[in-house]
Amino acid sequence: MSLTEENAAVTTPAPSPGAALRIARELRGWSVEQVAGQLKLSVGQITALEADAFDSLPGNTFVRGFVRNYARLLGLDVQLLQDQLALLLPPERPQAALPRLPQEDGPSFAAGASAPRSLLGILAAVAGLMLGAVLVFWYMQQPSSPEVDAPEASVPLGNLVAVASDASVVAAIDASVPQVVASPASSFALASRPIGVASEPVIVISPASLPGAIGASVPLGHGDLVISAQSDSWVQVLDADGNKLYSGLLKPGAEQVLGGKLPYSLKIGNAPNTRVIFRGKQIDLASSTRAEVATFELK
Amino acid sequence: MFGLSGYFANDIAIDLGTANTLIYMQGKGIVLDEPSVVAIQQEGGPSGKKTILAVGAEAKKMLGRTPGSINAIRPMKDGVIADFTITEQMLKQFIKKVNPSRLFASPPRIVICVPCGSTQVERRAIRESALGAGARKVELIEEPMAAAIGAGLPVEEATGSMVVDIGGGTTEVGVISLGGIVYANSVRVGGDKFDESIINYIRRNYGMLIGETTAEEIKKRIGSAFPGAEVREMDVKGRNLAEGIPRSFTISSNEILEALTEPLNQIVSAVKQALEQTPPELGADIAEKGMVLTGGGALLRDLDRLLMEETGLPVIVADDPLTCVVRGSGMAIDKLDKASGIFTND
Repeated sequence: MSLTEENAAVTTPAPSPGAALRIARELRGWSVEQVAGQLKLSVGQITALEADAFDSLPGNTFVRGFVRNYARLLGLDVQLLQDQLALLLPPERPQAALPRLPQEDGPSFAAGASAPRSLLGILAAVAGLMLGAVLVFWYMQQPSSPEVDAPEASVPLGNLVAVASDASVVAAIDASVPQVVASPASSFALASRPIGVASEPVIVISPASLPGAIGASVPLGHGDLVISAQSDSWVQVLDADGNKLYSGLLKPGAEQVLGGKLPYSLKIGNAPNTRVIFRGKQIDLASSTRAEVATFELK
Repeated sequence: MFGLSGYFANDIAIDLGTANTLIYMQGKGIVLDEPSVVAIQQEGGPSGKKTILAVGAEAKKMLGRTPGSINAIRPMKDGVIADFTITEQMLKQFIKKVNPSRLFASPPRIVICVPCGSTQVERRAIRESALGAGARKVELIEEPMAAAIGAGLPVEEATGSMVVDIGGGTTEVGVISLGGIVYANSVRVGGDKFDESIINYIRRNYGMLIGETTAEEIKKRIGSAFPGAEVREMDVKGRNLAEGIPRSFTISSNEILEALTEPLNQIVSAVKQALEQTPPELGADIAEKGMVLTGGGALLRDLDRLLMEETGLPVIVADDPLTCVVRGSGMAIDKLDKASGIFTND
């Protein structure tokens, strides 16, 4: 019987720290009271230690200390018991030793400044530097006189108006695209350009002169005079005030639409090959032509 | 945002002890544990240039073994600064060792612990010394509080905890509850006093002179605070005062116990005084849980047994008692940004 018990004791797994302490104490023949007197602990605390009832003891630090003292008193392997105890003790509360303050809800500067946070810091710094560099580069690339683009960008839609002389107005205008003004009913079309927009192309398509859409630089005033040439012809048109409405060489097939203050003074270098249409009527140049140069007035 | 400043500066906690200086760095743990010793070389006479030859363990080896031009100094005495300039230089070297200067790095904030019995002048010296060593901001924490936090005591709870921190120069006794120090006392007795007592005992009884390093070795090997069943002996070499010749002799643990009686009694008195001054409710808590020993002095054999017998209370030695103070100070770094009562305002 006793042999069987001994065998059972040998084959059972290693006892818990509490059981090991109790067995060692019993082997020495000491009572719980004697041990309590030696360790200056209460009998209840010794009993709790032997029963592994660590919840009723003050805390992990104290439990480890008590077990260490008890083991040393009994001459047991302190380190072995401590290792076993570490598996049994409940995990300590994080930061249990530090007062938790309500202000801690805010972003913490120092708490756990570990690798991921450092990495984020590096990334944020690099991103900031790159953004700064891009901004500086962009600023350097800006043209020094940005006013060239500004007026075009700010042209309101309503400022662009196309006018046809016979009151057929076709005006579908997008401020950003070249305008196409078609007047199928009239022999010619007059386009009025918005003030201040000098470079925007306006294409006027007239059935009389088709094919051949002509890009024209249109002066101010009513476009009631159309001059076209079959061959090279030098043309000068002055208005009532002596302002030059047009002065230059008309190329074959080219057409000039002009308007201004009446009367116009015209001088046409190659009259036989030039056609002048004033207010829808073709003007006979032959009467005022001398040596192929026509000089006349239109009222 | 993203703890940017946390990247650019690693805040550190320093246990600037009489015997050892320990540095704890946030996120890295204890990064330095060196003796508080500085070896200084004097060039060309007493008014010549002084240069630091070594600090820490390397300098400690030189203690008592230096030629005339080299001076190995312990700049801390009784827990406070004895030599301001040397302490500042030592701190600078230690900080440089653990926190090498980096691009964009701002100086670290430092939590540094002071004995609770130190005067305002002494605290100011420690603060200035740390600032001179390159700290951006310095916070002081009293050693009993740091030791209690490091030992894992429930300092924030409404229960009394008693900690006895026996350092190299001072012994701090503190009673802590609800995150504050209820009672603290400091006596200028510690490991150094133990060594001194051993030197004096041997000179008086054997007529032999031994050095500090030998005395420390004796204390560690056969030193004891309570008579035990086993008597240990050790061979010691020293200079015979009468003959002036080095001699060898054997000393026993019982003799060392006798030598240490006086400083140990001072520690026991300080503990008893603390218990007398403790409010009864907290005293009851301490009676149940006992007191916790920290610091290098806690490693003296059977010191807990002595205090147990003298007070009748349970006494336990903290896990890794040598590093409790610096670990506690390190945990306190997290409190730097908060309005926490654990730092001292002096």
